[in-house]
Amino acid sequence: MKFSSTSSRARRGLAVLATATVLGGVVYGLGPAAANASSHREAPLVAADPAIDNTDLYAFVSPDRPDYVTFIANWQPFEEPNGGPNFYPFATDAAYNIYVDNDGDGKPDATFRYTFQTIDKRGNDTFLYNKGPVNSIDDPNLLVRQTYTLESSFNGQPFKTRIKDAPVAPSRVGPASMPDYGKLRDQASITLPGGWKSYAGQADDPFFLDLRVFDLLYGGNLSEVGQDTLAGYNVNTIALQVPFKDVALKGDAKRNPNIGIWTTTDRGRVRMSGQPDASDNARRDRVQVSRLGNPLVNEVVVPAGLKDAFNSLSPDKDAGIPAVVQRVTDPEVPRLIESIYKVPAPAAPRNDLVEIFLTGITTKAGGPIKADLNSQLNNADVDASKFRPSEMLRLNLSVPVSKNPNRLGLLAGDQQGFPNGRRLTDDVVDIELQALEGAALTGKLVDALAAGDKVDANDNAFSDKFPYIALPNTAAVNAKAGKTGAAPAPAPSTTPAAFSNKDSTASTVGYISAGVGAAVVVMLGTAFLFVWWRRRTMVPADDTLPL
Amino acid sequence: MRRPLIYLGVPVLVAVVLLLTGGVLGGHSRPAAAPVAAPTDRLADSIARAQDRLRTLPKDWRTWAALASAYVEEARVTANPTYYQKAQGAAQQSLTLHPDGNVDALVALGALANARHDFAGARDQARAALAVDGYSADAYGVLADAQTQLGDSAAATDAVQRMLDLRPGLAAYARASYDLELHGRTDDATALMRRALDAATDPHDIAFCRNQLGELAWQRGDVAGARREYTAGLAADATSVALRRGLAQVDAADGHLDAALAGYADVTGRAPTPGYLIEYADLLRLVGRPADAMTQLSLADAAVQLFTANGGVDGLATASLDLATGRAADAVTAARAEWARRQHVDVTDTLAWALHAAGKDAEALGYARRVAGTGARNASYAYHLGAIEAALGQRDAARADLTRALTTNPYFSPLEAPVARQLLTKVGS
Amino acid sequence: MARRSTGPSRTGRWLFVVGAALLGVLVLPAHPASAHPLGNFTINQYDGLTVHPDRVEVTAVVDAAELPTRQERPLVGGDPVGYAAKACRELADSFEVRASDDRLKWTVVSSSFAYAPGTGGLETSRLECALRAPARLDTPATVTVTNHYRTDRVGWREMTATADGVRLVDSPLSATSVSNELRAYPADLLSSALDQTRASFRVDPGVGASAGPAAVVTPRGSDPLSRITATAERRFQLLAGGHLTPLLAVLAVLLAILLGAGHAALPGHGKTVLAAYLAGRRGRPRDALAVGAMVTVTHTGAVLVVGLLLSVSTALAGDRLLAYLGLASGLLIVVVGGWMLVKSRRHSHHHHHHDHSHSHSHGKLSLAGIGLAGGLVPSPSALVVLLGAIGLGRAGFGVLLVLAYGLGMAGTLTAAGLLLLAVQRRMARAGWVARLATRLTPRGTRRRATGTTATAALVVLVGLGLTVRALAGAV
Repeated sequence: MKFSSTSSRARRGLAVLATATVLGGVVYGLGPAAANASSHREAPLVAADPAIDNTDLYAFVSPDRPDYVTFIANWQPFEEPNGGPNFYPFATDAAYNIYVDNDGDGKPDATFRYTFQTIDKRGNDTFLYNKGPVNSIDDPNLLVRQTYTLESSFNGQPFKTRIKDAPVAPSRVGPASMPDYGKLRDQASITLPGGWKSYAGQADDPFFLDLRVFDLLYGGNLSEVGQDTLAGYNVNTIALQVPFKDVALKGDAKRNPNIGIWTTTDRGRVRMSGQPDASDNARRDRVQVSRLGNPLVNEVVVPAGLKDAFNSLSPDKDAGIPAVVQRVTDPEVPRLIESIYKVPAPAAPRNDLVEIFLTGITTKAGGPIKADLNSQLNNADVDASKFRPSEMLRLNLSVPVSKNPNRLGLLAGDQQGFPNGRRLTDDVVDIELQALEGAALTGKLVDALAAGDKVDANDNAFSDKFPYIALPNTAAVNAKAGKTGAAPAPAPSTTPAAFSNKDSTASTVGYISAGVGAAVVVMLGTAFLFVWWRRRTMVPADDTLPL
Repeated sequence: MRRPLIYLGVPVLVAVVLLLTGGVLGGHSRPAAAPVAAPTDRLADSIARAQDRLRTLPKDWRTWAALASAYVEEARVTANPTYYQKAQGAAQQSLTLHPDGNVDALVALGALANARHDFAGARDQARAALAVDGYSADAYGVLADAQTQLGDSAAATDAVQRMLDLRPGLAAYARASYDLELHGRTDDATALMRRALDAATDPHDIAFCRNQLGELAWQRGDVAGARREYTAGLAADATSVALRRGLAQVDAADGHLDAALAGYADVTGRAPTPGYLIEYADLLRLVGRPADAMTQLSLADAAVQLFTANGGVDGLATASLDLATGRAADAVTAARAEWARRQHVDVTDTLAWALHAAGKDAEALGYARRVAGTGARNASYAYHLGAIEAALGQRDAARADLTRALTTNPYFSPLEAPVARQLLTKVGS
Repeated sequence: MARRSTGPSRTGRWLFVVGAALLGVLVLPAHPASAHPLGNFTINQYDGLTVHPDRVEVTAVVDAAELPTRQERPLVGGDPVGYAAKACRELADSFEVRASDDRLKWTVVSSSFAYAPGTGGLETSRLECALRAPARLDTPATVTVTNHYRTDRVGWREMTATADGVRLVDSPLSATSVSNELRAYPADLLSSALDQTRASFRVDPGVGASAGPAAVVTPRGSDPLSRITATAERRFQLLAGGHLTPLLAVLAVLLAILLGAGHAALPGHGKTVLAAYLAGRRGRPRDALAVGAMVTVTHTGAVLVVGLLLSVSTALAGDRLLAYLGLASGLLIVVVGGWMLVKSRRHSHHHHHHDHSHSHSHGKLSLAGIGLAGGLVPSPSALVVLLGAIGLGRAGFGVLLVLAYGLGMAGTLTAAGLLLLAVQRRMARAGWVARLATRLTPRGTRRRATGTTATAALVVLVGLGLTVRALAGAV
């Protein structure tokens, strides 16, 4: 509970209240304003469920490993680095899935499923995450660990377990508890038979954008951007690298290089009465609770009233929801930009966006962008009659790796960039803004929006080997709870709040030597100057004043 | 000038050596304790963040609606009803900014209506929300709550199942558990509530789940199990009044009457609701302090009056209070009125008991049998049915139901359990 | 507790009455607006502190809603006066205020208790207490307030703090009551009920505007240079805290040098001093080097000393220390400038043909003084690096990094000084400095002494500016 409002806030609050009272005066008093009889059970309605929240999906040809494709999927954004005592485990009652569709029918042809278990050795003695420095992934000092099982299924065949009880890289507690997190990361990056590589654990959030860009919808404007809203936060990451032949249609990536990828989280279905109803959804025994393909679809494309539908449905159902298709063909953001910035919105229906988001860029679907890039329709062995428009990230495996990746991807002529898959360095906000303004169709960037959200790169550098994402951050982002969503990067201050493991029993040897060193430096400095000046005064002699 | 340079060089070397020594020895010798932080209050955080955001971006109708829902939750968690007004204002603001298809605001208004006992209004809001977005798990949650309280059992189960089919998680599991409990499937209810507990991350949510698990254990007579759940819940959230009341209940069952009385005094001090006050009064009467019991009951009276004066309608509380103070005719009136509004099993049972208190056992029997027909496994319901049957001279049925009551939970009420035992002895002979 | 201020609630109520009359049947169910929108079982508290140099006074108000009032009627027992005294004594015993760790002992100056009509025919009650306790607040002290009274009851909790004859620094409490001492509760949709049960602030002697919580010392600019520096510093902190391979260590040292160079490029840090010193003099490159080196050495030493002090003692407030250092630095520069001025006047009478040796002779102590002054205020980022490294147990590495930082600073300052000298040489030919100095010196010594006098005057001005800024910052 926060402080009382200042006088200006009180005035604004009164203004709001006055409006609300005038409007609400009629319906006010519909119920007891201030009493509490509460003789019925009230359960939480909006309970927090962050662990299943899909936040990003990346798919790109591995730069260091030809013929291998990498998928990176992130969950649970805005992980504060000082997130103790329970930190950020993966949910153990959910499955985390990566799906690949290589024939364009909206149904998965390859499924990779991760499920997690927690091993909690804390008992009732402690609620600390670790009881000493953790120097390796199976260090007994780490009291809370997770492991995962990876299963895969191809072309509707039953699931096969690829690995069981694989280690999950733990949440990064802090530099003193985990002095060498890189080693833990390496131990959690495992190689599986068939050349697969897999990693599950915490990482720096590789997404970079200023979320305030989307305040356009609420009367904000693009002038106040430039801060990476996600800087300093961590995410839970699953990274998987598999050979082309395991995901391409008929195993042949040369003839069928185009794949569609999306990621979901699902939980087991609970039936109260024991008999499923007739709907197709009810017959399946998993309930999809989150879904993601292209980035920012929820912010940019899908309206609020459809977000729940989008999360629940599988891609093969998208084309059957007219509201989704309609939203893509007549998006709101360009109209807002036109009203605020006078940049003319391209005419609806925006079939160019349909190509980007729902079919892939191809000449075979009658879309306006005359290029063949990443649609499954361009696979040689595809059955075009089964093709369904669906929202997913589409990647052409045959596009060579760019030597100099451009953050604006396709719009800057870098064929390997978003929307052809998504690399870690692609600036998808700027690309999508430009695409919404028609840049993909005209081939020219819109100057007025050239700056975009003015955040062009992640705050941490990426690695050039699997899993490519940066290590999790350790510095606290918010000194205390209750900051706004657009939290700025921590400013340096005289109290090292950033280093939270400040321990008053620090090594005395360190202190003593540092103190002696400091004294020596000061003495040295004065001695140096004294000697130097004496040399100066000796040459040449003149009637200088004595000091 | 070599010598000054030597004079300089040696100290430099010494300094560098010292620094490096310090660096090498000084590092990694500290105990590595993970920062011990209490779990953050997500709800309070999200409210503060939403308030901050709305000050700078007042047209953000989505955040207004989210804030309204958060205020309703906060009112539930802190038992501070002034958040209801804020919730109303925030939801209205959201609707003003975005009148059409504003699912979030409709859901918030529905949740608010439920909290204020306007269950029919809540049902309508939920239906309006579902007309816009048929996939909204939250709207089904509001609908499930409303239908449950209105007593429309089939509709309630259907809404809960739809919620489970859209977003299985704590909110859905908790409601499903309650639905199963109302139908007597207490083992399944406990399993689902445990699932909800596993999914809980916020301390208030943990406290809620623990409380329900404690209640479920209590209802089957597992006093030790109930105590464990309440204690574990208080470890997560020490401010929870419901958990303290659970412990007081358990203390009374174990015979620690002083502890129980102190517990109830604390509970009614923090949250003087009619339900808690009546329980406290019962306990006071048990230990032979009828004057103190009357004080608590008159306080409960005041609470009910205030509630009504503020425009609320809670016939259940009124009827229960009338029964506790011996005003049987008033109890019947109040219970009938409430039953006309909603046919929740608690209301049906209260009506039956009020009719019994007023001597109208024949009519009472019908309602009591209706209660039994739902399948709910509740000792109090069984006792009421048994007592009514005994009054009507149906000894066999009475014996069966009284036995059922006492085997389900021998401690179900500090005042009524001994009466049930005596009655059983009487009809048993 | 949202008790609406009287204006809007009356409007709302009239509106409702009209609306209800018209739509009575349709609005289901139609209820009268609440006359008393307090939560009916809350106990709200307000505590207003007034801090004097010799005492602290508290106005405490407890506003109990209908149900608690009713619950506690037996305690009042028909004797409101006696009850008020007892309740205020209990409140005073639960209201913990410590000045520099000494708990204040309250006397109840006055107490009153009264009922007021509430909803549903019930009454609310209002307890008012005036408390006073002696306290020694004529020297700086830290005051902590913790309210333990009636923590079992839900309700609005508000505290305010004002000063009379002293100054409150870093006070998180407002000076005026937002609820008018629990008489009218704001109904702002965007504020949660107040729940202030503890607070802590500093008391400084002397009057002046009380200050809110201290801002972070480094100004956060949004210009590119500040942003780059901020980003670099953040990355640096991460680097210092991570896995330390030899390569990384070398990189960290290099980065520290760069940071120091960049930091010296920002305003402050003796460049003004350096400019003032070298302007109008025939300075030599060695002087630039010397001042740069001096600034660096003192800066490094200051960082190390301050850093170690801060990490060892929790009582020191970093920003205050810096403020004092800034003040000392400004004063030192004023003194040095003054001394230079005096000397230049004296020399102008005695030695008018040895100006280049004069420049050297004047130089040494003033050079030292200026270098010392310029480096006296350690930069927060260097402190962070050091403290962070110490916090990780890498004190030696931290010192090494600070040294590297200092080297970077030295580089920039020397370069700046050399640049200034080059400019100054051109300017000296232009003669504008001489014209400026003419106004400051007596006729006879014009040509020789002009440079040194002008310099001295500039130095004094700069020092005054720094002093004033440090004072203003500390207020």
